[in-house]
Amino acid sequence: MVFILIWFLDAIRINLHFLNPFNETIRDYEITDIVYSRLRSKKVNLDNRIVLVNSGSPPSRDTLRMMVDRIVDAGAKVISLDITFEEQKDFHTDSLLRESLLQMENIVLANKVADLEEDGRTFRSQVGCDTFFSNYINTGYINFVDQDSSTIRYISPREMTVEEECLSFAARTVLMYDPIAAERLFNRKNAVEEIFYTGDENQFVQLKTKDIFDSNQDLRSILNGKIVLIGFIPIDQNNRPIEDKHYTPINIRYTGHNTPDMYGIVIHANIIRMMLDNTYVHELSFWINLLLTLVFCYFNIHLFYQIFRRVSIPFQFITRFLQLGEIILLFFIVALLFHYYRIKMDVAYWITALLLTFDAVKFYDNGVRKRITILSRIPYEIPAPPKRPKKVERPIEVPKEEPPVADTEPAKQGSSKVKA
Amino acid sequence: MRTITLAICCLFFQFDMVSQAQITVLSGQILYYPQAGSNPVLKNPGTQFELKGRLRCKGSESAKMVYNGHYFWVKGSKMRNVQDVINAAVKSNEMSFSGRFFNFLTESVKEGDSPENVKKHHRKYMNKSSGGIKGHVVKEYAITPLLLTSGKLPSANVTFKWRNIAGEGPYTFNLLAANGKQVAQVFVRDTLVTMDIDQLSMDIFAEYEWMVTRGEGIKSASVSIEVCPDKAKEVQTEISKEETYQKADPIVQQLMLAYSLEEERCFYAANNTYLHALALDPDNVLLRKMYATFLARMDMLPEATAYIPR
Repeated sequence: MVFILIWFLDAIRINLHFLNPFNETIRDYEITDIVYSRLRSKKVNLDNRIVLVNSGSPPSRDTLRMMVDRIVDAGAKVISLDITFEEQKDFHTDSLLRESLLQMENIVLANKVADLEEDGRTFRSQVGCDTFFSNYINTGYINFVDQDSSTIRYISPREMTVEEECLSFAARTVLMYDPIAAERLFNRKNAVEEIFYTGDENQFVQLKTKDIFDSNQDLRSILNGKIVLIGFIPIDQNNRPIEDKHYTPINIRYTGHNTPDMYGIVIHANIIRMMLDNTYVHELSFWINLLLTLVFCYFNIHLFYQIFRRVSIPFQFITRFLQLGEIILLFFIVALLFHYYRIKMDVAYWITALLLTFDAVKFYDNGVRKRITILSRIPYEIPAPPKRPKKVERPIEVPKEEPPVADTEPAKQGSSKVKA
Repeated sequence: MRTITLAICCLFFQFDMVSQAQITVLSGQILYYPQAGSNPVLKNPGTQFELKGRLRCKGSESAKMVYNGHYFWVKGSKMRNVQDVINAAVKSNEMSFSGRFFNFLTESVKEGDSPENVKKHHRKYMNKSSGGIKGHVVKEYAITPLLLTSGKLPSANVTFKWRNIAGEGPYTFNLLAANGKQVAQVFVRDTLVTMDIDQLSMDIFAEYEWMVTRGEGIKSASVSIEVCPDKAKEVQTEISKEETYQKADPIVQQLMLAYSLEEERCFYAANNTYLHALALDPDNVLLRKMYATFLARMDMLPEATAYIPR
């Protein structure tokens, strides 16, 4: 009955947002946001494979060329530029930049997939990187799964265009840095992966443009064999414009009005780190979720029904407290599983079942059970099997040699004595 | 028994290894002094250094560092003990997951920011928030000190300068020891004051600060200094041993000396060296360019433009 009620509530999806501004506020909210925002350890877990370089905004192509030259000389393993070269500007500058970019194979430029076909599966075009560059250098699309400036939670590792299959910016970078990690990603065969955020930009070493050009700087010791992500990441703590800044679950305010908290390049760095460390978020399959929901629901109905039968007067009081306690316990379990094992559980149906159990038990007992005779015959509990009578070991009666008596009465008395 | 002893030894060794964690520079640059009196080592992002010695940033720059999972900022050229910086940054042990969860639950109950609560505790909320853009509402340090008199100073007549600002009344020049004790206070109408450091009760190599105030609330940032009477001579002796220096012409020698003095934070002596060289050859383009860039590094851009060759 609880499941019928859940199905009914689920089926009539009436948009009541206009009545409830609170609902509108928490529309872009998931329970795991609290784990990221408030329950996450604030300790920095420095990543020694990824270095972020601030290119400034807008970066000059001449400066970029010189930066790339220095970074290539420093022995970086992969250089990924989170910068779009949408059109050619100056042939001389662009040619020199392309020459610099062609110095090594492991360079990734950013582009975007655009113009979704009507089938909803294929994109018509790749934009954001002029063919002057993209025909010679690897590209990766920088699109996030971003629904109307919502929180960035998901990444699509690869997409199809009418021409070819494209890899995301992060997936392309990982493919060049660690092909095994990329294969692991592709073997998962998920169209969309949930991003596991390790933390903010403090997890990565950050360099300014002037650090790259500083001749006193031993760049080789910092960049050799690493992934260098070049993009917009202002390092000055007092001057952090909102350009290319997005909402993520680690935002300190997980609901309501807040400001974007993470630069695009840091999101890419988090995605790359997730792919390299194989720290993907695991979601329970539909059937396991259903099974667990059934078990949880059965346990609660049984518990509540037993309480109802035994203590009908304070039933309401006890069950309300139980519901509150169970919700807190559920939240703790969900948070714990996500924090330590990155297992994401959808407990929405569990909580709905929990909230409906109380009323369902009362409705069933007072309304349904009394009216339907078959149901009323079902016992509250499965009757226990009949107990077998214990064997009583009687002492063997040894007949005493007594003189024969004619009357029966003394014989009865004698037998009673033996019994005693 | 032997295995257990070995295991315990390994455990202690492991703890020892953990306790020798290093500080990593995340962004910005740090000048690190491993020992007292040693030359600074420039630490760039991604490099590490040990939990001893002293550090400072270049000029008014800032740097972000991470130690044992805690990150912190260091700003300005004030010399700091590494251990003190760490102690200030790593104040408490982090709570466990269960502790954070319990904290979250209790905070959720306490944090009810109902309109009544906001009205009741409005001052608390005002304390955190203000409007306007930084630098346009209230300027914290309205008076700009000139950084030539920062770093290591000679024990002779030193002229402290600052930029003029609109206002009435004299400027108050304060020279303070590191513990806040006043060493000297002078009231002046001009934007400079010359003091004979030798005559003041100041310890050699100890850290001092100077600042200027005018009226109520108008002040400059504190500029840290130390008195090192022979530092300039030491630098000159060191550089004069180098073959390149010996072979260079007098102007280049002066440039090399000025650069070395600046590297050693003897800005006042470096400025005097540039001026001395300019007196020898006022039209030398290289010299004028070098001096202009030096002044620009000292946040003296108006003065620097006068030396840019046209």
